[in-house]
Amino acid sequence: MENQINLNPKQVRFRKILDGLFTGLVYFFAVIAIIPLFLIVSTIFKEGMQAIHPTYETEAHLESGLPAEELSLQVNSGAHYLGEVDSLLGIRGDSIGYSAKSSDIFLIEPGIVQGNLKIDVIPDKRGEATVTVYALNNSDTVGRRDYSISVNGGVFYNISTFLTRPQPPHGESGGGVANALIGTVMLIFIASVIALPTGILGGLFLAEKGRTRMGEAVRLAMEVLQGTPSIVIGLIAYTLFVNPFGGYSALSGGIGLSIMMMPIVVRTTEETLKMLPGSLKSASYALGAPYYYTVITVLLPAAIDGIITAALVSIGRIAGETAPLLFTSFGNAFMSHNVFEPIAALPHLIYNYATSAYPESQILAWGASIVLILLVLALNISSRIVSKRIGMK
Amino acid sequence: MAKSRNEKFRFRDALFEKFLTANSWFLLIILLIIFVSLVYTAWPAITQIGPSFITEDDWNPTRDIYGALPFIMGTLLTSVYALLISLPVSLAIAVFLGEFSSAGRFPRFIQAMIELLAGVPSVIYGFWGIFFLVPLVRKFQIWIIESFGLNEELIANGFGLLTSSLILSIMIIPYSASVAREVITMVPADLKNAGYSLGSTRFEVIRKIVLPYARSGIVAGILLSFGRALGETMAVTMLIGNSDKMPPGFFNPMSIFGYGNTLASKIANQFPEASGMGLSALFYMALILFGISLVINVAGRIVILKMEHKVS
Repeated sequence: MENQINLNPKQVRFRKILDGLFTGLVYFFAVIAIIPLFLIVSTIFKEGMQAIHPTYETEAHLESGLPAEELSLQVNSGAHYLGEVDSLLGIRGDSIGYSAKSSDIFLIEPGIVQGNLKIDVIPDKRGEATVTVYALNNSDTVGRRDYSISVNGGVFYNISTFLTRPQPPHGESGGGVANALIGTVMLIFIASVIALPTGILGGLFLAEKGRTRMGEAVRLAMEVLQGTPSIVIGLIAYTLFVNPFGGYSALSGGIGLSIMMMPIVVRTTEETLKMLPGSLKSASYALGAPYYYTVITVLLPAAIDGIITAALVSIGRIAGETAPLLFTSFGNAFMSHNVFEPIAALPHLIYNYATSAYPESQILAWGASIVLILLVLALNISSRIVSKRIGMK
Repeated sequence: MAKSRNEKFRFRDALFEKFLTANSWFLLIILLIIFVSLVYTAWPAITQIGPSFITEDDWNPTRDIYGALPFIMGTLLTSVYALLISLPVSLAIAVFLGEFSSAGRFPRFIQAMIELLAGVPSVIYGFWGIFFLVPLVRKFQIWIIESFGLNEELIANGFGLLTSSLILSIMIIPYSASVAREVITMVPADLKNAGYSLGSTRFEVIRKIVLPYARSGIVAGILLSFGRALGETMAVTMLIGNSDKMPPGFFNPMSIFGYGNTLASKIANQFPEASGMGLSALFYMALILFGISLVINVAGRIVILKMEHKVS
């Protein structure tokens, strides 16, 4: 009989070794699973901080009278960081930059042409920065020099600038994610306005009449909807809302996202309502309230935590979605408040700039990733807090 | 004559119920509209190309040849590889969280981390893949070429099937892990205790009692994560190298260097320039993709349902 209890010491030791091996393997794989998460988050922050415009001030001098090709820049030691917005290199000149007197300092905004000089700064990772000075003649670049300057002291990151400037053209540094952030907020808003009422009512229906044929059909439909690939939903939104109306719009993107939100809202609302004690409804009926009144004044307020969880979870789901937006809201390089026009979005921005050939664009994509991951994290944590309050799993 | 209060209530109740029903019909109709509009736009391709779409392995729009087989293969290959890679990890997590320790701070921490993994947007996965995985895979490919003395003309730039499968496997871990974990916690304690009392080690109890009991739930989790892998678009698009040729077959070692496209990535890449029959063919592919993930997801949910009925 092979199922006899086997107390042979050698075999027992073997089985114990196997058990230990197995336990080790389980711990090993469990830790492996979360290593990518740490790698991803640390990479995002490490690379993305560069995009948030460290600003600094330094003294610099130009040698005067040189032709543009011999433009030289002398940087004083003792460069230090300041927290001023847009304060950058100090170069003072009379008119044309390269005839400046030495030991004069003024400030030039990075990337903006001032007189005949344009300055670009790219911070390196190790506390140094590469400064590129362009000498211009009627907006043609006639000369350029790169300088490496080191920066000591504290770095002030300009989060407010990053969040209020729109996206820069590819290959340019500076700029920010303002248009994408507003776009994401608008898309979330449009999607929520459509999906939340529909989903809550759907969950209400399922909680009441979930066992009927109609209820099963709705449940199946929501299952199918949740498993649909997001790009297919994007194609649908394109067919229904972009093609007939002749253009990309934030509205079509929001509608696509709302379709993805609905199954989650329906399912979570139904679960919440089912968890409410039946005595609540009965008590309301006993006092003579009709069904609709019970729903509005008793059931929904009691279920509000679950509904908030549903909203947070579903928004977290769509905040990072790109595929539905590729053919609907399409992205927009400028700030836009118009729902009938294309609009940018954070994940869409990341997709465009991450696949760009310019390192400056990739840095911006990392910065945008910081914002996106923080947003998703905030939604995740708050949904967890809210759902704990009602004891949901 | 004014209505009595009861009459008012009944009227409003009837209205509300009709409203709820109408809303539910709306939800159903959404699904119908999705299906109908897919078929409608794909119709020219369906009628002109027909079932050979699935078997034709050449994609050449300039010569009016549309074959989706390379992309179907790419989709299946990446998803299957991703599933195989992620399986030991998911099971390990499920066993760890379900069996080893279900309370305590460390397991709850791991649990939270896994849920966060599921929440990371796919573009970020793709971006990180480009930045972190691609150089690693490239080094690996170069190492393989050098140590096995392979043809030096093989493309070894780190993109392709291998990288996409790796990223996919990370992305789908949470789905199978959470379903499997739930089933594992539902194994009755007396079954396990019976095993322990007879002198079984924990490994033996898990192997012979817990896992067989949780088998259907684990299968459901596998199906769910497979469905997720099938439909993933952004991360795969960024990493798969965008080739229209047939990828190397299952477990062909050349897959290490294989490029390809999945249905989703092809749609994402081709759509901006598609028109006419090409656009129709893309929608045909979307229909196929929709069908495949539909089948897998519904199968997964059915298994879960059967499981819940068995337990209750």
